[in-house]
Amino acid sequence: MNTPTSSGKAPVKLDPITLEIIIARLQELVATMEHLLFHSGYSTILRESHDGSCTLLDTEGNCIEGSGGPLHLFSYLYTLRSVIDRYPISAMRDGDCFISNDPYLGGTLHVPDIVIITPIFVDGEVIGFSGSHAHKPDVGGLVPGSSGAGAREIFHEGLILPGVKFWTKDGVIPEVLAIIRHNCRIPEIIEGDLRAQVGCTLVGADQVRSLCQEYGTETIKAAMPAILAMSEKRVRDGIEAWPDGEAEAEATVDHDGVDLDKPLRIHVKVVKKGRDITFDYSQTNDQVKGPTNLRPQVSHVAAVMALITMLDPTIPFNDGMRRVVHFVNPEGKITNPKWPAPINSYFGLANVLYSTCNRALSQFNPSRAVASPGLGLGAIAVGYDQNRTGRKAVQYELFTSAQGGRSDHDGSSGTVGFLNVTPNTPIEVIETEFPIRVKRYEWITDSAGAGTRRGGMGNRKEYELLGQATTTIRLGHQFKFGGWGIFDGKNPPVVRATLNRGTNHERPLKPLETIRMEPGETFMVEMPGGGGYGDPKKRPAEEVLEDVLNGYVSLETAERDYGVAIDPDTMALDRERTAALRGR
Amino acid sequence: MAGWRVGIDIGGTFTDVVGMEIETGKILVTKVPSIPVDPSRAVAAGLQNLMETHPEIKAPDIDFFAHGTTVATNATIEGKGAKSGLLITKGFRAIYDMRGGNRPMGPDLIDTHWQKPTGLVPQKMTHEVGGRLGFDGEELEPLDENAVRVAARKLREQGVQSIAVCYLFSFINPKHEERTAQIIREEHPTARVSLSSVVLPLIREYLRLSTTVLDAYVGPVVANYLRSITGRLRESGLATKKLFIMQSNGGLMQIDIATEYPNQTLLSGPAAGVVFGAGLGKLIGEPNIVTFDVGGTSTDISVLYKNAYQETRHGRIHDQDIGTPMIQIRALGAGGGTIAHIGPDGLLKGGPQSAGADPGPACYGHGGKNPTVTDANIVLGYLNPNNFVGGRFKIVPELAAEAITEKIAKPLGLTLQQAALGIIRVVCTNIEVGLRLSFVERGLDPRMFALLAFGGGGPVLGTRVAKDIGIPRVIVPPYPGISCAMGLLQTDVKHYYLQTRMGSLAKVPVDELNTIFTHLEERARREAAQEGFDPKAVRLQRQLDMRYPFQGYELTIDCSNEAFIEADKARVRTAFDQLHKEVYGTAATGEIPDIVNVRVMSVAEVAKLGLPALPKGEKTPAPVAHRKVLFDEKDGYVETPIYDRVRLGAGASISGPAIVEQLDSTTVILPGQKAAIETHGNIIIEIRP
Repeated sequence: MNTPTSSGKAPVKLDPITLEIIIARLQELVATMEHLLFHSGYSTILRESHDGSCTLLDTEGNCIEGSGGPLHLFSYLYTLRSVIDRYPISAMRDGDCFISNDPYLGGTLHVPDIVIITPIFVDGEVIGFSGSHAHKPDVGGLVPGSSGAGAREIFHEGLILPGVKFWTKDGVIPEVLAIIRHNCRIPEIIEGDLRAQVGCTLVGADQVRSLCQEYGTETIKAAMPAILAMSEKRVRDGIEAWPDGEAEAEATVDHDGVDLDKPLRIHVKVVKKGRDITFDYSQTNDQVKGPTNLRPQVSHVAAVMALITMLDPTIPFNDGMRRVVHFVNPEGKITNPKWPAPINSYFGLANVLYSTCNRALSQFNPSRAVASPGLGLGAIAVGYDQNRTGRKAVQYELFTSAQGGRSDHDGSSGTVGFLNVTPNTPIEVIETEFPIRVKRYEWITDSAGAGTRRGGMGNRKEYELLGQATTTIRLGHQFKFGGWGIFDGKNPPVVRATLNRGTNHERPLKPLETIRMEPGETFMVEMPGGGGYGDPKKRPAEEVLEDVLNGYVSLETAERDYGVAIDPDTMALDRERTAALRGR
Repeated sequence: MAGWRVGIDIGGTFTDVVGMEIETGKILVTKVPSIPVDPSRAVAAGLQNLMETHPEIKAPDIDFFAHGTTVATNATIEGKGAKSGLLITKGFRAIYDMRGGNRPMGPDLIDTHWQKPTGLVPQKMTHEVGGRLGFDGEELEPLDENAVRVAARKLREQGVQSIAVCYLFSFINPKHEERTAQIIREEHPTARVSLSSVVLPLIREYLRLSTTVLDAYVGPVVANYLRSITGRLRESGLATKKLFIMQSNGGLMQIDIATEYPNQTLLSGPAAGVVFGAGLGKLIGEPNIVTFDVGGTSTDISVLYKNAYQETRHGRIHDQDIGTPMIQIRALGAGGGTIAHIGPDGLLKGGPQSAGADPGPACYGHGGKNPTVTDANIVLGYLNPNNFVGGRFKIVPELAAEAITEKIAKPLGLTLQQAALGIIRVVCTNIEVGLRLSFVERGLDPRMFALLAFGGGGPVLGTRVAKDIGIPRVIVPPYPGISCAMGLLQTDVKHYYLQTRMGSLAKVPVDELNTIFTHLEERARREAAQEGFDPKAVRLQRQLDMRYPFQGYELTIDCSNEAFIEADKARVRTAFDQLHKEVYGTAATGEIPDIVNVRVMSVAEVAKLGLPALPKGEKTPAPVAHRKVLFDEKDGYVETPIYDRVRLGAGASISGPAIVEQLDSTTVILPGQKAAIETHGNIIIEIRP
């Protein structure tokens, strides 16, 4: 897998201007596809939270360009291979689209992610594929949202489509659509999202054809391996500059949701030698009964993302970098579970693994070390018996925590760990579409790990049900063991979820807990901030005062963690007491 | 009566004035120095100057006045907006800082060192107010009037001059926000109030909130400015109702109305330059143009593919999100006044600080000690110190040399010439990065474009920048320094009138649609009359914003202007399905679309500005002078011919190196480049890579 494959034809020479322009055009192409996907989709998770992506793949499934997060982009390869296994390229016809959401045969992260793959025909030849990936609010399964704690096998997690034909030049294949519609709770929404996915891949294929007309098909075909090779080279060059050696890091996760007294060990050993790097997961936990296993498409991309952020985030993300990064990841580990282990709650744990890789890698490049983000990331799924128009509905909402502090700045607030995105569904959209009311959405005082550079702020969101619903708290299993500070920075708090706060029925909620709720009942999610970087007593006192005035830090924490005294009446710095507290 | 139309554009350094005789199309131009402390004085001075230098223009004969200003943009970029406060619904402090929907591009998406931008109002100036509306606008909890009162007092004590108010669901029921405005007026009468229900009455709270805060932040600055400008125009004797300001969307708006919508003027200045670029491209048959407007403080770039500009409904001004529709323009902090300095890493930096108009570049002799791009241009010989703005502006070249020597050359151990050329190269590189991004974002090839260089500084730097990034042609219009002002005179007055009426196309009664259309059309005609147009001459277009049920974004479908009948529903539905398939690749022909908004667009067309044909001149014109100019370090100063633009006729051709001087700008033609004057007087320079 070390060199790009050659087609046997005479290679086309690409000058640096032409290649630069083709790259830019392909970037525009996937961005356009993504815009179409988000603007024509039906579900709020797609059109408001933007949990989807688009891509251009070569004929072997390598992602050349993609929109959205690397998490999706690294998974297309597996999905395309599973489609080609069933339908050789020679059997494909112009206008065909294929559908898959099988995390074992294909590459989706869990069952609710559905991928559409469309061959790009140019003058009768398939020169690549356009693809789209979109998280569905529901594909059947045990609970609304499809991802429940009760899953013990992948079969419990929703309808599985193993890479079948979904569309032809005459439109959708009605039998396949009928099967999908009859196996999910909200058929009209799922159909609308799938139509948007098909539409954007068809537009993408059209745009590749016009690019071929403009620059020549051979030039476009030659650009694809060249793009992969450029990213590969930049990663290799970057790694080469690091010292050879090994580094390890580990973290603990509460449990798998089944054996509640059995914490899970996440361990990574990184071996860097010359121009290659290996991530060894062999000392990590064995696969678990509950749905917190990670398919290799998840456990591998977590390491690659950590590597790129430590190395140089400007390296374009594509499958070329896969050739540099190697894995020791035996089957039967939580990072490579055997079929048919359940996997629906992958997101929180994927972030723990990413942060652990980051921690190990920072030993090679301490200047880019960061404290961990707030952990326990995930979502909620609220399945309504009836929405405002009397139909079943599923509200699927992603939550944010915050970044950890780093050498040059406090962590950013309201991001999702390995991605700097803020996928909030607007409150006004939520309340318009679903029988629910948002009671509060605010920053939590003292939710950031203290540090010279503190973590970003954690946030609190509370909801009141207006109709009957089945709610699943799809947060990561980090309610006990959370994020961490570095270089004497403090840890942030852990995630919390509470049912019916302030009533006689108040109780804490567990990760992945599903609850039947009546109108008037409430639930609240409190997401942690990021970890702190450096000794908090070295944070400039003026910045601590500003944090207190803005409500981010309490007077007590200012004094205890930061050693900064503020007069509660005048809200001015008490410089004398501060000097005493800080030992100067 | 000989009617005139006047356009005045304020840049960071100069205020440009164009007068056009309506009957003949005759164009007269002038420029005066900008007065940043009170830009309206420069407008009055510019108008005065135009009438003094061209006595045929009399104030009462001016029938149309259009104005472009960077007052709002500058306030945002320089952080000099009003000290602002914010009132929000109780319990929702996270909305603003969270920036919901935010997704950084490229490397920023995964960079652990990325920083989320901060807002214009900190939490300590944000106050929560009880009171809650439901999704349908129903009041669930009454407004906590006392909380408003307490907050208004507190903000008054904090010295806040402008207050943004954004409550949940105010776009559907503005009553709580309106009552809040009344209470603020009682408690803090001098504060300006921006209500989200007025600024951007659309669903999705974050974008509405961010836009409202921007409106508040620039509001007092813009409102004061527009009031003083109206006063000065009336004092100057203008009687016409047709006093307009350019909006960010490329249309004109009456000045009186604009004081209520200050955020819509954020791109007022640069938008006029883009309109000019689109018009000129059509006139001379150049389909693909990138406008390159280099002023005193900034460079504005807009890519016009097939002579059309892009509109965005989610824009960004200096990291602040704005939902007001506006032309896509990239603004870079690089202009003639951009200050060169040595950074903390010991390297030469260009900007983003600017010397502005006061004190201005060191060579102005107004006390500026910092070397600027203009100072470098003087040292290198690109600009003629004796003929700056036609000699009306005194330049002291020794001061330019001194500033560059003291601040750059000596500390870095360079010669004066090396330092001056270094300043130009660093600033051009910054500009080129922005230019490349503008192409890349759209996936367009710079080799298919012509660069339209204008603003005082565009033609000085245009040929160098085009050469570096592979743009094959540079166009320098006849009056490059006043192109934005000319754009103002070719802009239509355009308004959208909109009423939200959500419902299935099948179920909304046609009578109701007709009633709404008629009502909106009456309003359009009434406002056209107020703006001084003949209501019968205003073009109206009925439109429906539609989407499939469950979608979140609409497509706009034109309807017939005749009364809407039941059979039209099928036609509209087919048109929507077709457009959806065209745009999104598929259509849900089995689903009946929903109507979201009923709209009427009104356009009062303004006679287009043309460029008269330039008489033919000598094929090889004689230079008026020679001077030593430095283009490239290895060649040193070379004796370079200087041409006077007014003496160049159509058909003339010039070989570089050469410099063309005129009142409002200077064109630098690099060695090896060939320039020709086309029939309308534009200089077309072919760039060899």
